[in-house]
Amino acid sequence: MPSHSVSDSANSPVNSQLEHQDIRRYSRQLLLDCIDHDGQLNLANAHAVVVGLGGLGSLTARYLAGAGVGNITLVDGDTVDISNLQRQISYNEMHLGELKAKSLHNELRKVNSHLNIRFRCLFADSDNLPTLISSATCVLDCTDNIFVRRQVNVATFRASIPLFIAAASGLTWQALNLPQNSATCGCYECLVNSIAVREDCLSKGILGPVVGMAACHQATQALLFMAKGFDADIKWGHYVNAHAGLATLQSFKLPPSSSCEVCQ
Amino acid sequence: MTQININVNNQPMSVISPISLSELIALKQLKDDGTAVAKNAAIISKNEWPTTYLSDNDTVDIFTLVAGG
Repeated sequence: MPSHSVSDSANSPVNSQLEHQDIRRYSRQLLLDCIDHDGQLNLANAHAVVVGLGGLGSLTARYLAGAGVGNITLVDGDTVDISNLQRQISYNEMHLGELKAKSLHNELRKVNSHLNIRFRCLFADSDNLPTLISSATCVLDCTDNIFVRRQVNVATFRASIPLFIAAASGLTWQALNLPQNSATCGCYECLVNSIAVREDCLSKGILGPVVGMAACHQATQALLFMAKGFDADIKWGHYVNAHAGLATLQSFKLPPSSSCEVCQ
Repeated sequence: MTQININVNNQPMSVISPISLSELIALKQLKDDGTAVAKNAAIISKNEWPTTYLSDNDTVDIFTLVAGG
């Protein structure tokens, strides 16, 4: 059983062993100590909620489906626009005008028809987030603005559900893993409290592969966690700041802020 | 008042102590919108900039938070 097993009836029945076809499908990652047989079973029994299905979420979700995360909930109320195709690589011209959540659901079903993939065509907010994430093993914040990011942080902290955040703008990508139940790690509010964050893809532009790097990092961290729980060899509460052009990557500890209204 | 040597975004800098993070940001004429600051590799919440003072050999990293996706 995974350390963060899901019990919600909407999730698929608990897998207790890998089928022959699973061993073949996942053979390359089963070779990894950080996944192995038990980790693959944990992935099959995990539930990832992906909030936002743009440049981050459309790619992150693709990796989660490919790796065999058994239960995936896709959340976005937006439709596919031609300006999305430059970087949101799970969509193509056939998807223009369609709801992203539905389109991505259909594409991921083609990748792995054995998974329980659900979609919600709505914009996440403080009212619907508690229900959306209630049975999640972890949440992936793939949204594109600070207002929703703060709401995702609050909802996951109140539910003590680990949160994997990624963001990108210009040539910069950033990421943060939050356990949301630790006295030694801050939360997203500790980071952004009193700061007017205005750098998004609209204001500063974005190069497709840059947001892709953020998504790849985010998917990697979430997969390692879902495979091995808190025994996974990943860093919690460290803010990663990377510049894709200069090929620099920094990591800063994010301690709790004594004045934080969310986690203190 | 004494002069201290600090490192800001990988550049050496001499400043007069005492100096807070808020004063350093103002001294460098940086906009504080969207700006995050780490002192010795730990992020300092903006509320704590005015009361966080720098010491000799401290390392400061100033960067811009992004939120796009």
